[in-house]
Amino acid sequence: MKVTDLALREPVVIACDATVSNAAELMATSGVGALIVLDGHTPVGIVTDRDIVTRGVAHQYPTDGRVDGLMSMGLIALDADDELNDILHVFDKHAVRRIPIVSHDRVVGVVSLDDVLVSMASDLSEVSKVMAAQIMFPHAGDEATPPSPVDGS
Amino acid sequence: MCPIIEINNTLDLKGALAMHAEVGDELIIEGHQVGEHRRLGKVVEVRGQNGGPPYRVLWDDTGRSTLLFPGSDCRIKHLGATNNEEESS
Repeated sequence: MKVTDLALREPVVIACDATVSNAAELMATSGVGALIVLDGHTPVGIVTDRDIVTRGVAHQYPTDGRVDGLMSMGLIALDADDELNDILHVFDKHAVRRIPIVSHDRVVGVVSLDDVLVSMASDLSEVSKVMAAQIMFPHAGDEATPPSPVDGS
Repeated sequence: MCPIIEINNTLDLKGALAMHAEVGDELIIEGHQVGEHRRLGKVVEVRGQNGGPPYRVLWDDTGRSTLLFPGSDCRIKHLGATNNEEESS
């Protein structure tokens, strides 16, 4: 399964010199919880709603302060041709919650761990059906033969 | 397969370049907090124009590669450079 088999979320961007207030408004109007921060045209980081709360509000960071003061610097990204397994590895090893997906010279989407879970849910549903069927209607011969009583004397 | 839809605000990565790297360069990202270790990697592919990001980086700690848009916490040590010849973004 490829990264592009997932339903990619549209990337929403903000300039690095925008304010925290601007970022919050953009998140609200766009219905997203993370913005890719640009320096000119180049992505340099990501800021999330959680960053605004834990790094901003919790530390009295001014709402008219620059958003790049709260962002996570740098972006770990994956190629659209990478495998789904690569996404799981990045979430596991790089401590990120959202991964930008790059195709050729463009960021074409953002994937969150939730998106991966939703995508896999249909597969899990199929697995659970098979498992339930095996539990309720075991194949002949599947049931273990009861152990013979052992004379312990 | 999910089609790659043309999105209005799809990012054009051909903008101003803040960093330059070549294949084989070492990449260093310092930890930001106590207990957060320094991350090291090697640039195995330069995807941007004129040495700009994104880079495909093979990480020392995971043994696998990802793409990276470096932040200002990232330094690049050019192949064959001394410790004094590192480039920060």
